[in-house]
Amino acid sequence: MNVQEVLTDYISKEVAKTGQPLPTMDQPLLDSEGGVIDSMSMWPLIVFIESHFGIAIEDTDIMQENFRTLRALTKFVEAKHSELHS
Amino acid sequence: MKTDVAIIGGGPGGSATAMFLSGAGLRITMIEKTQSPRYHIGESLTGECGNCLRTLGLEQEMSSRRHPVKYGVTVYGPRGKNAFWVPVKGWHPESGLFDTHSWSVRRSDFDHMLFTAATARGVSVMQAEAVVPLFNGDTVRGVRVRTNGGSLEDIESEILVDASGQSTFLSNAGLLGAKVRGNYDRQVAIFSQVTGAIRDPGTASGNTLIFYRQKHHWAWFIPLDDEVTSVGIVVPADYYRAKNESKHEFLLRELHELNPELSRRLPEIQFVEEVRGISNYSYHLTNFTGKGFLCVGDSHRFIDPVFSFGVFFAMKEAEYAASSIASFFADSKREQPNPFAAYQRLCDRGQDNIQELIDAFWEHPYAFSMLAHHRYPEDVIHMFAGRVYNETPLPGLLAMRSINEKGRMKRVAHECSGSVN
Repeated sequence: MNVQEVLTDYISKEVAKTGQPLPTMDQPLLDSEGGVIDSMSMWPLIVFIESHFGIAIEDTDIMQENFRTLRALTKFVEAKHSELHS
Repeated sequence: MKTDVAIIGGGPGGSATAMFLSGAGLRITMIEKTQSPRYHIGESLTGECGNCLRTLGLEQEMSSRRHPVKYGVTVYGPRGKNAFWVPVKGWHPESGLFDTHSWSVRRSDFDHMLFTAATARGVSVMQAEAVVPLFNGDTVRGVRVRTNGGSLEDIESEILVDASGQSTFLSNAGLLGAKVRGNYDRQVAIFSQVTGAIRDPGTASGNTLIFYRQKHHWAWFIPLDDEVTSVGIVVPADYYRAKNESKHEFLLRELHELNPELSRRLPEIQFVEEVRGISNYSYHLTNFTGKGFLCVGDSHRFIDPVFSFGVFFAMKEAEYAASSIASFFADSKREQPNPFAAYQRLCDRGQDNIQELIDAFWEHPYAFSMLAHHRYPEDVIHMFAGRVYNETPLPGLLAMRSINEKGRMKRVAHECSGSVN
């Protein structure tokens, strides 16, 4: 699975818990904008991304813009990943 | 009349400065225009504020007055869930964090207690209104006051302490630097006191609760005694104006609508105080010390009331001010251009650090939550207590600073790209 597929799979499991529909690539992920990720579920998401992709999410990476949508999150993880392997 | 130290204001900053200085062999005169006690908000005391009271030998007095005991603060998320809890903890250099408590207080009682304790320790009190500072060249040499009878009197002092709170006496007199608007100066607070509020059971009943709705829109819930709870709503001024309601209507409706957990705790609202409001309270004054004077607490800066640092800053700065003043009198030369420059740097450091904490909370709520819960919980406990004066910043504070800085740079970049396009 590529980054986008892995993240979509993770989010689909999250929305299954709440009964919300799976957001499209551009629909909000964060609960402040109506999405499924709140301050409690963000930590497991961060831990998952770090362990699955072997990247370190810095304090300054936890900006809302990086988590706003699946597209933004995919782009962010891909960038971190390529940083690691460049 | 002549005195060594004249203190304008008999609130917590003034009384604490006087008490921390008592025993130094100085003549201290406190000038207070109103007859205490008087109404004030800012009722929740941080952990280190509790420590100031212990240092002043007032713990027993606080306990005997049955102020609600505060073990921490709970901040509820927008839908009444995802609360985060920050306990009041002390710190020992060898054994680390330990359980302790602070208090929440009815300010009229608390301020009166401090004022009375100060007079009991030999501080002179003058019921009068400060009119203008007095000068000898570029050095402040006292203050002219208007007594109750209406006559003017000059009080000559070696050091004048401005503890006038949000009246900002020395700033109004044009003595300090520019008054810079704070980040939260377009906010309005509407508040009162209620009976019948549902508190947490047992020892948690005295804790401070904060209810968050969205950025800059929140409520406080602070127990004042067994029956009465202080409640207040803070919102952007534009939001308040757009509602076009009386203060009473506004507070009543917001208390019901702002957060489900807050409305659950207020099944029936009985106001036992008038509904009051304040606005534009966030500001910052530069150059608040100099030859013959210094400012304490709100008289030079007020950030944002969300995490209850108001009385803490007044009392902690009073402690530092008293120490600086005592050193000044111990120094026979007294030739420094500003004898209180180090005090000013220390105050700025503490207030700047709390500003970072509050900015991170409002601007980056998800990152803040990650730092507070998972990455630096101990550092956040230290900051909430008020341990913010160390020369070496805590890693959690550095993280907040970096996040805030990154956010500011992004905003600037965004604004620039907006103006180009």
